[in-house]
Amino acid sequence: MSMTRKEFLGSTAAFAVTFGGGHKGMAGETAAEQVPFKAEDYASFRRTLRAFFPPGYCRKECQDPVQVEKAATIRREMIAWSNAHPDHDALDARRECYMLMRRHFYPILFPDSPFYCECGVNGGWSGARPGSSVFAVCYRFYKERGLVPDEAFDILRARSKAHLTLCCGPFVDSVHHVPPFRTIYAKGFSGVRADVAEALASCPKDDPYGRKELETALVGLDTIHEIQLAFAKKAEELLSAGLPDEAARRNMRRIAEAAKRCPWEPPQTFFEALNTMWFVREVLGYVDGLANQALGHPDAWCIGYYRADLAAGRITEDEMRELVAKFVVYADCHESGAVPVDSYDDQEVEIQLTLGGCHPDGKPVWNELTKAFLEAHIGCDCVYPKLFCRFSSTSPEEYLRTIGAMILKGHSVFTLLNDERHVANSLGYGFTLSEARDYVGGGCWEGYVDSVTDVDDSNYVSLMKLLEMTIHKDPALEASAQVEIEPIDDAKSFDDVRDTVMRNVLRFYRSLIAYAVRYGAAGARVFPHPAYTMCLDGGIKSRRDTTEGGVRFRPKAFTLAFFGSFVDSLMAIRQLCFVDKTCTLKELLDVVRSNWSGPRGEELRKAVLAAPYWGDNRPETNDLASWVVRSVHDGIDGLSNEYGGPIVLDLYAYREFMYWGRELKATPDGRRDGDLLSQGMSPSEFRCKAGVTTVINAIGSLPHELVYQSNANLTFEPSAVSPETFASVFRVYAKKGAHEIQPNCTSVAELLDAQKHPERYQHLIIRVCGFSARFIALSKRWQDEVIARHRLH
Amino acid sequence: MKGKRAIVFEIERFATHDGPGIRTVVFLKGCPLRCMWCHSPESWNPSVERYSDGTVIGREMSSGEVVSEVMEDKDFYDASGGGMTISGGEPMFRWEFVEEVFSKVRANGVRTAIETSGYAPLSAMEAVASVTDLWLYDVKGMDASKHREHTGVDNRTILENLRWLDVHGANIVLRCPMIPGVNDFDANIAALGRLASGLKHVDHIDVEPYIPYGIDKAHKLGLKVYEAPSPPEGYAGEMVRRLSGFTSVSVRRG
Repeated sequence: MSMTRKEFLGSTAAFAVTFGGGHKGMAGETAAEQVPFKAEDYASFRRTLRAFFPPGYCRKECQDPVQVEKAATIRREMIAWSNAHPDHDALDARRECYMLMRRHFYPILFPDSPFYCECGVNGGWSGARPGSSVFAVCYRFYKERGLVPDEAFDILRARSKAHLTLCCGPFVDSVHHVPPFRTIYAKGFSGVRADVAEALASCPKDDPYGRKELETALVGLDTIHEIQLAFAKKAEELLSAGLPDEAARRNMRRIAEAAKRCPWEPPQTFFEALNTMWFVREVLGYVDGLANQALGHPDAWCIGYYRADLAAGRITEDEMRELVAKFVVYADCHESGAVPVDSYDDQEVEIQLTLGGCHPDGKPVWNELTKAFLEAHIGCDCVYPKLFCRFSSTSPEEYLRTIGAMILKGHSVFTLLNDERHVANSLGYGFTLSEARDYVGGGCWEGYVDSVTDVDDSNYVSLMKLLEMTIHKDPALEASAQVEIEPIDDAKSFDDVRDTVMRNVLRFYRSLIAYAVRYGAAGARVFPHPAYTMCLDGGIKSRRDTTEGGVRFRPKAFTLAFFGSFVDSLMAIRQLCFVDKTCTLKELLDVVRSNWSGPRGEELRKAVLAAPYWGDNRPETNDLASWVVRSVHDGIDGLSNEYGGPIVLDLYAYREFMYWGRELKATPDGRRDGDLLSQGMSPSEFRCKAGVTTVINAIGSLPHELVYQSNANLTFEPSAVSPETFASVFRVYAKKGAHEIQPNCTSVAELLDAQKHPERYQHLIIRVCGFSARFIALSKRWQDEVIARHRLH
Repeated sequence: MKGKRAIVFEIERFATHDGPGIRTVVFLKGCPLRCMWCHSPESWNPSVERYSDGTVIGREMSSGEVVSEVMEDKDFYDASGGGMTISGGEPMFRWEFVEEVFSKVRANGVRTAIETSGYAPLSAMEAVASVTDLWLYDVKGMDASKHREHTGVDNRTILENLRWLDVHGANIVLRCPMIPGVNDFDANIAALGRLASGLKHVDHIDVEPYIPYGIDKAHKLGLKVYEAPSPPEGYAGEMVRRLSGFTSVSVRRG
């Protein structure tokens, strides 16, 4: 398309990625000129789906009244059952819930959708799902059965309320899970069931709990089978009732046949392989109440099925493209665009799709499916699924340029995961090379080996809140949140300051870890996931639920949130008080405490803003930044979590850089009360003045091998980049060894114009933080935040 | 830092318009030409100076300091087929410095380009040519007297040096600034086309349409540059088309 970015943003344009001349096809062939994907071709499909998915906030229920009633019935009957059986445990409840699902599951099929999967699991949050009613009826066990004392919950609440920490569940991140795709591709749910049955037959008598876990899992797996068959039956009913058009009849005939078999049995065709991704995501979200479910890696996993179907005449290229388009549009319709993106529960639906990267044998994944998914995503004007594009310094040039071209068109929907870091890290954790190479994206910016890893990654720790407490002092909070803070006021040297702050940080990390170890595994007695557990490596062998560490790899991550602001604060103290001696430490701390007021307030703030900052790539800044990572890593290294897995370190936080920043007092980095914090390992937006290469070189100086996951959200000036330069930047970034980059590409002038003329910018999608959104759908405060970002050029 | 020294008035990292790939462009102060449309009059004076608002222009750097900064982005050059470019002012005015910097970065695997008017003694050209991978060579006009009138110097040396480079196999990109009403007349364009066609090693020609960046800067320095009328829409494309009509060498918008 020769359309300019400006024309594209306001158009209803089709999109095909071409770079002059014909598209060089895969395997050295030149593909025939394809008809670009057009959003209007899927308008009617969208209307059908939007009439089903929630009209407003993503956490609300889907709109089919029968399904809503059935889900409510399950919850109601669960509560009644629980009241009638006061001595039940969580596995009893899970078993009962599975049985109720068999009775009340209501399959939804859309005649114009080729897929069978819909269980009403919207968005990334488990809240209203029937599978979560187990948690609802067992939550009281924490108190009743003495699993966690009230005092521990009080401390957890005090820490959350003060924005010291965020934890997506009591002492555990129970929200982020990645479905076990590879297991189901390999042996189907039936294969898992056979293995569980075998394990049950040989289960030792002295392990009643393990026996019960296996027995419950069998019930869960059979429930999944029943759900699958219910789709086949529903398709047959729709066919016999009569469908108006041939396309719908074709969809239902295919479903009626496929849903009798797959994914109970492994997929046999391209269609079944694609549908398996949706089905596994939805069904485990439904039965086990799992949340934040990713989709898989279709261009890697389904290409063999597609080529076999194509060779056998079972599918045409156009049919493949139609399936791909409907696959992405299906994901996109989970959000409505009807509410402004502003808080946590608006339009963030957590559907992640992985593309590119490499196969288990190391060969690059860049094929006709990769291209179709990328083109369909922009051509059909999708915000979702989130695209997790894996890359490395040796990725095919055309793949990287295609991503660059999409970003330049204003379609910033990417989390780019660096294979070189993720594979190396996984090898360090004992994965085989082929497992390590076969990872998928999940959450906001993470990479996981599905079917092996269960995730416990969103336990945020605010370095900046600890620093704020160190400076501003809050004895009441110290008491309620059980945080012990040493002051820095009397420090005689910068090393004193640095070491004292780090002692405060480490003391708090260790306290969090101690609480997690003591109480985290209690989750198994409240919210077990037996069907899911048995699909993950290690579950069957250990006979222990994933919630208590039954699966092979269950690390627990604590994040270093607001890393850039933290480094900047320390660098400011160092520069002003101990290098330039512009003021004493006491003077600086007093000025910070007064929110930069007083006679020297502005002068000192100006000096701070001229001081070295994270991202400037000066040796002294890089050294301090690395020292921070290394000190925290070494301070918790070797500790085990409640599952017996490792404690690891992440470098990110989600929308908290705004929400928590709003309530954080002034800090030495020049922030005033309420100013925003830095994102991931990106430089602070209001400090950074450096260019592309300087910032990336600085990021490259960190010891990434000590970090489990990290992200950097970087905004490029459109006039400074081209698809070619993006490709080069990505290659360099991969070599620098960081985990992830989220590129944005906007100019301030363009965004200001978009605020004035939103109708001209319907297609402008920007990366907010761990998700993307249409710029015009953002609330004013988020629009202003995006506009205020530093542009790299 | 050791080595020869020069006054650098800007180092542009992540530059993508002065040679292939991602580059670092080092701008040296000092220029013997006085092109009437110049967009960087702050580069004329070879010494550190100040704008009327007090802002300092330029700082003295050793070749070692320049090399050290350039080397920071080596990964970007390697990934993109880029390298370093020295521009000015007229970098050949400090050709010993250029030669030294280029030798050092080439020893570290960085490709080099120079953006020059070619107004320099042949001996200097010979010295720099031995360490230069690409010449971004300005040809501002073919008529000798007009050239003198517009730039303050004769174009004979410039054209002789260009032919010398071509004979000796240098990689050349011709850069032709097009200034409305000054050098965009048919005879000049035709002569430029003939010049390019007569050379063997010109990869392509960049047409560089007039940009009025120099006016404010000149004002703040107490200097004057010519303010050409704003080029009409489509001017660059039109110039590319017209020049293409006179040569088989590829013509692009620079």
